[in-house]
Amino acid sequence: MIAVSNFVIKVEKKFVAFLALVITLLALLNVVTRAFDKALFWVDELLIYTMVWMVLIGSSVMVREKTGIATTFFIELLGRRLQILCAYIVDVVIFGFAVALTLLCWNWFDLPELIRAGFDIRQFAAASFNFIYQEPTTTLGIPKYLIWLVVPIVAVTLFIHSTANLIEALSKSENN
Amino acid sequence: MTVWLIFIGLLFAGVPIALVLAVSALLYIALSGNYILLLSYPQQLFSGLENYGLLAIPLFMLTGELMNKGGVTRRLVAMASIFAGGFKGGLAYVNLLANTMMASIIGSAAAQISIMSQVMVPEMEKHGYSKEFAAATTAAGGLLSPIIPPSMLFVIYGVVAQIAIGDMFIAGIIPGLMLSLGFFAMITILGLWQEYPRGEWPSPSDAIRMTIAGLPAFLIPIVIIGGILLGLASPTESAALATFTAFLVGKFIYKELNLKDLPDILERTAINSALVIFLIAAANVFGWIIIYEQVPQSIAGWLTELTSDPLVFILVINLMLIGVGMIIDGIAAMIIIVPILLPIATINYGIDPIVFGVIICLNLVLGLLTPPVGAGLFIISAMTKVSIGKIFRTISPFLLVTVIVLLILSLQPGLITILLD
Repeated sequence: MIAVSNFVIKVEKKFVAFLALVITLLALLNVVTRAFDKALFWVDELLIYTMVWMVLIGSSVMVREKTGIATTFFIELLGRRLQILCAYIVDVVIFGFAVALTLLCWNWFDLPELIRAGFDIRQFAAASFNFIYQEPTTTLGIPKYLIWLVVPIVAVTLFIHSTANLIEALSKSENN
Repeated sequence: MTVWLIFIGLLFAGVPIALVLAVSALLYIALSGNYILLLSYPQQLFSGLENYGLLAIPLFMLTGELMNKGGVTRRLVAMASIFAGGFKGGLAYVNLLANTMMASIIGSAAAQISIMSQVMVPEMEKHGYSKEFAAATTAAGGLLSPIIPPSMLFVIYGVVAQIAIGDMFIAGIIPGLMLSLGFFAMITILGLWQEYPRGEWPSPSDAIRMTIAGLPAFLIPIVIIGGILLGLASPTESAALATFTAFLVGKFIYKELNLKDLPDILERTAINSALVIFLIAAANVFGWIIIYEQVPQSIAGWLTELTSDPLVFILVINLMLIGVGMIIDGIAAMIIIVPILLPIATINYGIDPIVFGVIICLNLVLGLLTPPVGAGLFIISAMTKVSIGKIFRTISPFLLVTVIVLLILSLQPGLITILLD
């Protein structure tokens, strides 16, 4: 699991750097087209989605590298054993969150129901009252579920990273 | 009640604040049995980020990175020395002046302190200043960053409070300059007690050379502030232009920016901005708790019983926020606090949301340099190897200046909005 997590994080880092480049270029394109009064509306929407992908995937990197902004003041007042306990709590909480988010996304995208409906979106929506596959994007002309896919992807990478963190923490405590 | 205990427990256990918000919200809805809300949770997490204004954050971060790698910092410092280098204690003034210029390019105190401490602290030490004083003036100068536009804190406040980010930027100009002048005055006052090393004016030919070298760097703040002030560009667009300018200046004029460094720069920008922006996604789901628990209403009830005077309200909030800013990171604190306090400030006390934003931001930057968890203190202490206690003692006169500016602005809020009218 640790190896998987390390591989995933390498891919994630390259990908978010690429997205940052895309954001910069699209934002510039936006400035240029607007200056010539030829604003491209789809750029605005694409820009925002690119940023959301960058942020959500970047937050998965944050979990593995433990760089998130946290309040460390009280932990520093504690003894060593309690500090280790707190570190466990952090790992377990993030793991629990990853599991919950994965389950919620599973429910949201509801693949079994979609298969039962024979990938017929209308029938799926009629059976489940879930309109995820019918929601369009405003200007991009693609269905929104493709954009939303980042949430389940990140749920899974969070699961991988938080499991790796837990395994590392446990093996460290065994060595001590 | 349970959810607040969980919230505080997770916060103090050191769970990243974004996840504290996300997890408490998840538990809160799960416990309340509102399954429709629960099922929309992932979508809500996503939609909290669908905001054009937030794009300014990665773009301003990238500008800062490109500028630093492109040799802009050094040239701005050289240029500042033309104006203040020759006075007694000249380098201290140069440090502040350079910080004021940098603040109009960089939007975060932490980034500015880490960049400037690498340049200014060794330089001041070499000229006979104590390391503590060098570290303290540099850190104080860093406080200008989130107040003088562009400012990441202002971007986030604008997004959370749903007011125009460009207005926030313009509102920050006068408070930023007041802070800067206050710091200059404080250096002069401190000079009455301690002997500063003599300064040195650059020779006229050097001064001309430094000015010419420094001018292209000035394009960046001109693009940012000029674009917004004249209404030519939105903050996001001016951020994009600033990024482009920083790239051109670093690559083609100063020729110090290496294309090979770009992937690393982009990766750092992406991950650092994700850390900040993800907080907003989490705050969006956390907003459910604030709304369903009617937090603003109960706090408003308690506060209005205490006072009906807006000024007293602001002073109470100031005291409270300085306390909060001491324990919780400024941006995170803002994201948690603004949705609770802003409706009270505007509805119950009739305070302008822009005034409220500037005052909140000033409060929270103060927390950057106060123990126990001032991020700015940690950075400067790590960079200079001076203990946090020593820096804090030396920096406290500058914190006093910040408090005075805060009081003046609380009493005369018109100073904040004067450029907007």
